Amino acid sequence: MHGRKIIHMDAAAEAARKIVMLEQIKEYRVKLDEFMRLRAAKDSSETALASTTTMLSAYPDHYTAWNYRRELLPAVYSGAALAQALQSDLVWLTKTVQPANPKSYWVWNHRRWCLDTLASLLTAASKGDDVVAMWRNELLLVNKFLELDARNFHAWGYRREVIHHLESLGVFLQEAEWAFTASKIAQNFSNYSAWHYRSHLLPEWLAAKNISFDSVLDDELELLNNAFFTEPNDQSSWLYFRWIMAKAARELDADRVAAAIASQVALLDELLDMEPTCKWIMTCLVFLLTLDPARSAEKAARVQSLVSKLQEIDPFRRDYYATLLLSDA
Amino acid sequence: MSPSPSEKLRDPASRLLVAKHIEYIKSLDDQKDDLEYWLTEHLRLNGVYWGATALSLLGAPDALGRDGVVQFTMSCYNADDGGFGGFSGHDSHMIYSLSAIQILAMHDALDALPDREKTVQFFASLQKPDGSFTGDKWGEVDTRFSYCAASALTILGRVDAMDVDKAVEFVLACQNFDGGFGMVPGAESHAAMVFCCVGALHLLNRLSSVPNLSALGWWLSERQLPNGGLNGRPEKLEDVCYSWWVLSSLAMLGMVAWINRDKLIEFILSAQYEKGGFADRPGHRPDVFHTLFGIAGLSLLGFPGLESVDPTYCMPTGVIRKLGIERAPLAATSATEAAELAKQ
Repeated sequence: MHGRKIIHMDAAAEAARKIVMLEQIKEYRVKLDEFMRLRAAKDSSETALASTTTMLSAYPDHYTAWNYRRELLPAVYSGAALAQALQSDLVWLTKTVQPANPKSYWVWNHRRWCLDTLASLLTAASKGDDVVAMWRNELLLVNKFLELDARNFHAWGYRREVIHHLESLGVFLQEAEWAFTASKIAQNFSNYSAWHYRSHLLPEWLAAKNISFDSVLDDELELLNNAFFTEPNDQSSWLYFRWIMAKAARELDADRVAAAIASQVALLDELLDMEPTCKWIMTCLVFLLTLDPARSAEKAARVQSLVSKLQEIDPFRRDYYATLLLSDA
Repeated sequence: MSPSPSEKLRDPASRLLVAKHIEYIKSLDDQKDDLEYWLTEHLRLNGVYWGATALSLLGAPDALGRDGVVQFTMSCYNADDGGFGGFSGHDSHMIYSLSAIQILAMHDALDALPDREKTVQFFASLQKPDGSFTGDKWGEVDTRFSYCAASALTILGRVDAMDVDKAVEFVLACQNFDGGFGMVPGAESHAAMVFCCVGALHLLNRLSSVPNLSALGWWLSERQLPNGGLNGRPEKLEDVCYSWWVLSSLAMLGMVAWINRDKLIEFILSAQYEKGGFADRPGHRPDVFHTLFGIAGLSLLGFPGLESVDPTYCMPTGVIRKLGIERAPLAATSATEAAELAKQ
């Protein structure tokens, strides 16, 4: 339903297209009628299973067909045969269904179910190592999806689930994940999904390494400063920056915070000279000045001047900018 | 379809192709020669909700015929669990069950439910101990389903059937570094999920206590691109459906003034197809999904000639008022960045 251009066809082409389509519909309805017949009869045979394959190959969003398939697989197979059938489904998804439908919720759900069911079977057969191997393999696979589309939120979400599964099996990957976000950010500073993931990982990574937020703040600020100076118009690094500074203000010693704010304000002033119409720099300056609790007439005036400039260069959001004005007391 | 100066001077309401949109929506069930019609059967009930709501906002609430609509909706009912599938013979799922409740409410036909309590339990039973909701018995968790449950149960007058505190706790756990919300804890902010989370919290009367509302409002206002259209998350393309997800969220938060109304109206109007319907953006094929959200967006912006839409439910305001379940938007500028930062 998204991104479909209008194609203008002449009457002859339209008529030809219609004939082809009517034939396709006729073929499809045969599959549909058979599927509905079997489903209504609560058929639990291999025939029914094959019917779901046929349906889903034509219509991967037919969620009832996926539901039926999940009822049928353990009804038709058990034990090692079921494990093999699940592996087969996973290959089918990886090679055929997912590449064509990378953002279908139903398809990702089926993948999840196959893996969860397979994990249970392997665990029951005392093959714990195989389960770990299975999840590690999933991590490699999901990375391929992210190479194709770094903003595919289904893939990112699935990645997080795989990491959690591995954690529950005693495999802790916080350090590797932390490095992963850094590499995604380095590839493309405009990788919002990576900065977002990093914001969630930070507390987990700190806990895993048993280090304090204080000890990493400067490194994070350096990473961010590099990002701003390279790509000042990429919003994601600015949002992460605001979040990190607010976190510092909540958790760290007041003097430390005041010093960090002061040095970042100085840096942003420098950057603003080079990029005088970059709204991200201006809004972050306002943010930092607001974050520092001190109030003065000077500060209020500085903020007012920034707000006026913002309203001039970004008039759509003038009402928002108006809410940023500070009192001087 | 950029308006000429003379077009702009004309009565603005005339630029909305009301009659064409009504005809377009009415024609949608007559598409059996289109393969795509067959391959979207699983969401037909959603389609009826989108179409019926759009027609209502266009001032033609009975254009699809009340009896036919109610009959079709009930054909999607599954007696074994009290829920609804996307079409007759399809399994029950939250998404379609909410559409069913919305359609029945709009047509004053909630009494068509053969066992109202069973339907209430369909929604309530999908809540997990952590407060989240699954879409169906297969266990997919998503804040979309928190919204579906909150809306359906509010319309049915049975919010008490869910654990409200836990539901709120889960939704709040989905708030991110940028103030936005994702589909599960840890998931990236996305305007559709923001609508679902803000909507769910608002329905459950907990919106005013959510942290970082000013940051959220700003994130939402930053969805407006130079061409006036709205995108769903940073660095993505504009799309008419975000005229709803983003705009209704801003409306609930009392922050609609934080985007440029006129430019957004221009964008939405430019996505109309001359033969009827709205597409995701100008020059693309229309569909009933974008038709509803384009029209609902225009209604929220006060475009003349449209019925009022409720931002929390995406249903006609009249219907919501009659049910006595309206939620007032938060007072404008009740949240400022300075106040929020000071609170932390």
